[in-house]
Amino acid sequence: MPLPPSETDLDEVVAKFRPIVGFKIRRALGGNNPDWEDLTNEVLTQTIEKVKSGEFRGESKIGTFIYTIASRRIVDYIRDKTRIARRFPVESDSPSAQDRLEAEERLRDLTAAVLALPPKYREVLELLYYREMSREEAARRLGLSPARVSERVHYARKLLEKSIRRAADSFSALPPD
Amino acid sequence: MSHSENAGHPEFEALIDSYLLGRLNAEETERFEKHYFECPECFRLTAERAVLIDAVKAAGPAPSAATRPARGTAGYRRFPFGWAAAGAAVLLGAVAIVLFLPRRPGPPAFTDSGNRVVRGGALEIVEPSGLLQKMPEKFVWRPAAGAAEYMIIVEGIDPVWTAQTRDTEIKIPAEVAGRMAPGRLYVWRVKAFSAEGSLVAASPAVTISIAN
Repeated sequence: MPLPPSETDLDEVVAKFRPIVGFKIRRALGGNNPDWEDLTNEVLTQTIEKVKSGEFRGESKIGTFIYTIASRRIVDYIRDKTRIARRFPVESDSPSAQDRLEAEERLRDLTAAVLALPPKYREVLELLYYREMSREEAARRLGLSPARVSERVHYARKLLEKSIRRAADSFSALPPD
Repeated sequence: MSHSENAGHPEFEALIDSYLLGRLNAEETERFEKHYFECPECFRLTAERAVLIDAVKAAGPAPSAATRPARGTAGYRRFPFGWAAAGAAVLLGAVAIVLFLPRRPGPPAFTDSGNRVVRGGALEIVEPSGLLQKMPEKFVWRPAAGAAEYMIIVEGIDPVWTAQTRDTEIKIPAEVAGRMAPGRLYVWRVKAFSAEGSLVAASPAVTISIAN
């Protein structure tokens, strides 16, 4: 019979899943909808409650359990948009103004790094991610094989690796503006 | 040391772009998301790709790609659709350059991907917004000072539609309306561009949903 979870265990679960839940909810709600933070806090609070109450006993994986809670909350929110989530206790871990500014700055740094790429790397990124072409369309456009397009994208990402990593680390805390 | 290859789950990594660009169906999306809820490494790769895409969108178009004709290499045709289409492609490319001036290297004066603040004037939305009883026929907004053209962007979990107009309203084409389903949230916004192609104003994102 597994031991009941300690506060530390639960803190770790919240810390680990906050960026993941936040990421999924932000995508579901759309870029500029500010309710994602409240919904994320709700989902994490519900998770803690269900773990404490024994509803989750560790028989399935906790990630899948939290995914299900998040999915249901999103569906409920979509059905009843007028019910804005109230503030919940885990909110103290929410990103601060400092975190937001840092995340914004790091994204600007990454954008600058993209702009500074040698043209042949910038252009594959632009075709795939700005114009949202398929690899095959981009290959036709550039007169390259699809495999060569993939190679260039891989290399472009390598060139940007450090900036991407820094932006993604702060992105976990990134709120909409 | 390269962190960009995830030896653990290559079949997942192959889907990251499709997921982030809204090309997976509901079932595939669910499977993909459940996986990154369980796999921290795959989540990290996804989050990293997401910021890269944000940054590429913020960086804007690279003008060289817009007007450069496809280079020929053995087996890859230059312009499969003939010279008329080639001419049209160059013209569209030229129009794209006029509308979206290339930015100088260096930090952009503002960023305008969906998640970032757009500095500049505010653009006021008229309709539709909120919970709607039926599919809207058109989107309407107030004119912005200095605007020569407007771009509307409609997004849901998948991108839905982007279009440009000189008017301050635009009708929804039937095939776009056909892609929008009741009970789902959509977000739409408008950007206004000057005749020289710089961004002069942007609306907030407005959420809409059509009642079942």
